Amino acid sequence: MSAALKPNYYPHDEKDVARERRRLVEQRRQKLQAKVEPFVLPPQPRWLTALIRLQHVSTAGTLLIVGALLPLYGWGSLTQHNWGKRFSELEHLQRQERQLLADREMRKYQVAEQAERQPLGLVREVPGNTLFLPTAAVKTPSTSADLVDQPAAPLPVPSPISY
Amino acid sequence: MASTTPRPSSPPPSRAAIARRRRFVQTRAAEARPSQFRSRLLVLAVLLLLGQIGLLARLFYLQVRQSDKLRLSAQRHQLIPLPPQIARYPIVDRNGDLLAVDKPAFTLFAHPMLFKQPLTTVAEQLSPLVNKSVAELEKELRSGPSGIPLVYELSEETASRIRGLYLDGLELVREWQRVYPQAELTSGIVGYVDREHKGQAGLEFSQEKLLQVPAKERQFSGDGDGFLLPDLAPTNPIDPASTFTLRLTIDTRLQRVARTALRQQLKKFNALRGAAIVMDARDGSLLALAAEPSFNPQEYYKADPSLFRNWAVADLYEPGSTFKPVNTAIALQAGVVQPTSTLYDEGRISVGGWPIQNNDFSSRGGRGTLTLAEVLGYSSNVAMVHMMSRLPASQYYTFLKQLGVGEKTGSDLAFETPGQFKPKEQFVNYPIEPATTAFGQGFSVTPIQMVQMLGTMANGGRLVTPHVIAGLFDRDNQKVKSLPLPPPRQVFSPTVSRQVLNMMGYVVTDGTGKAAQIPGYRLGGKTGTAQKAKGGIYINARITSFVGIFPLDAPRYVLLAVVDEPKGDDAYGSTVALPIVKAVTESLITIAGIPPSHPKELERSSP
Repeated sequence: MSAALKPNYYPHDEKDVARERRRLVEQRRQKLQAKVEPFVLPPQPRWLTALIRLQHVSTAGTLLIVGALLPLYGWGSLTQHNWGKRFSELEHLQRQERQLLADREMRKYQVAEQAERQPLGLVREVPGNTLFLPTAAVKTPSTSADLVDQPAAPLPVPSPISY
Repeated sequence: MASTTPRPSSPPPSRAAIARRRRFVQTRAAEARPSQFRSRLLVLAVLLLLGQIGLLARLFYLQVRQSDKLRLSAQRHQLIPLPPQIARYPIVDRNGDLLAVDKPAFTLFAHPMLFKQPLTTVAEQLSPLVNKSVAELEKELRSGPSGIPLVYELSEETASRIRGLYLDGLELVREWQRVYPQAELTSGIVGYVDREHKGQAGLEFSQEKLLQVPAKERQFSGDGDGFLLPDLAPTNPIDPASTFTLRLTIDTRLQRVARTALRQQLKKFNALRGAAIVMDARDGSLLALAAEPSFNPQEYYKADPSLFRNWAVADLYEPGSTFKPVNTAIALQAGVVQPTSTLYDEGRISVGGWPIQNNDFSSRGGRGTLTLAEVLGYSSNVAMVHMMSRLPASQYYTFLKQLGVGEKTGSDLAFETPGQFKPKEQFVNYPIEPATTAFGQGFSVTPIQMVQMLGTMANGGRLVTPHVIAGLFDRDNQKVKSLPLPPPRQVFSPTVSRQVLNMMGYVVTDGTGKAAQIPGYRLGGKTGTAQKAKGGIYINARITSFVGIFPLDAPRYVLLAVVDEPKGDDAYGSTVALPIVKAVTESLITIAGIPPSHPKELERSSP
């Protein structure tokens, strides 16, 4: 069989088709080999260079930020979790506080009732058994030595605890 | 393939077949042409565009049309609602001692039809937690398929332990329980709430609106394990409004002393009931308001319903002689008598055909000429009638109306009743009316109103409103809300009020109130023993009372004790009510830290 296709010939056989394909590939290869020449990169425009550089920098930056954010995210999650735990504790403590206050008042009431029924030596406070002390004159500190000798400030009047 | 592919030995294809094959190859080659690509791209672009439009439409549908529904649905999964910590504000006394506080309580319901474990297993697991025997629980659980109330008023701890059993078919319904640590001591003031947590008596009833904590369910975001996350939490996780307290002006210590002294006297004289009140006359704040008998608010269902109304506020009585200082002040203010005036006491007189006599007429007869102080000191009815007869009846009536006789005081206490007073026409036209009013009979007031009127002697003549609520306070002790009270009214001049007070001092030093003397101190007082009226007729029963104003040199506190129907021949204001006021005054001295005005007397009296 000749290499060239005859005009009226059409390969009707698989082998013919394969042969024809191989021939065409060989032809192209020979053609390409004949035209091989060094590929010279055209000079890149400045904006493109800048963009590529920007891409490199931003990629590195992104990686860095992601790397830094991961522990931050972990820390955030942990904090949130801890907050939840602490909040539950707060709720629990508030509940206990209310319970304790109510119990304390009930106990006080019981003690007072008991003392009324069976005084067991307890006496009611009356002026006769009370010691009245005259109010001390207010001393104005004049020197630093006075300040040092001053007793600690009295505790503020206890305010009622809220429930 | 083999069957369709012609073998080499087969006859060559026809021309038509070759032409067909060529057209096929040409067509395939043409597909690669740019024009064909363009149409394909167009189709693709249109498809993509349609896809994008579809996505946008879906986005719009989800984000705009369905957003509310979806947001709610998401919140149901992400948000954990926290129930409010209290439903009503706690009530505390002036020192912060608890009088009433909310406690969450749970009711355990069982729905046996939903049980996934045998009924016996459920009963066995519940038994130790609810303090009921297994047999008992089983019996209850078999009583119906659903909605069986097993236990009421379970504590938070027990509820959470039951929840920890993870048993299907059990339901814990959150409710509130009101705890009254002071029990009977302050029930007359505070009142009680019923099972539905609604106030039914006392401040719980009258201040229902003020006591309600604004229902604000706290929503927190939570993770899959049910842990709360701070995303939606407010900066301050404690809602400030839920930490307010309703503070009263009552001092529980003084209240206890008043109640104890009152109960002792009620028992001693087998009396029907009694009340002891202490008011700071500067502003009308009440330090004690004890009324006996009382009820336990924790077990209100066991109490006599008539006790829910504090009779010191809700019931009327004829004040009797304790009203004489008020009348004296009216006469002095009107200028019909002077502090140095004298009045003649015949012992018995007749007014409009009605006999009026002194209490001690049978034993002492007429006392002759008396100074104003002596009139009060001996509690002379006849001299009082003479004094008030100098004032035209219509003017007298106007004065009494100015004092609020026949009206309510405007106090913040529950169930306050207005006093009873005759119509002006009757008062002016019948001489017996002003005559009986002169010694405190023929009209009625509540004990609380009596304290209000006598308070004018202790604060320079101002009529202040007795009240128990200091206000709503926050955690930092700052007042958040106070109740509006009627402003004080000047009814007597400070001079007149001081003059009457000095006369009341005479009552204690030289008159019927001698037993009230406290070494080292001076106080003013007035006894009262009034005949009780029933159905418009005076009966053989008394109401005894004593009012004290303390300290005499710097008057501030008004103390009133009223005892209804004490039995015995020696049941008078000076014997029944006076010891109560004295005991309370003694405690007031130590609680308020009032130094003695005459310290030497204390030195003499101490062993």
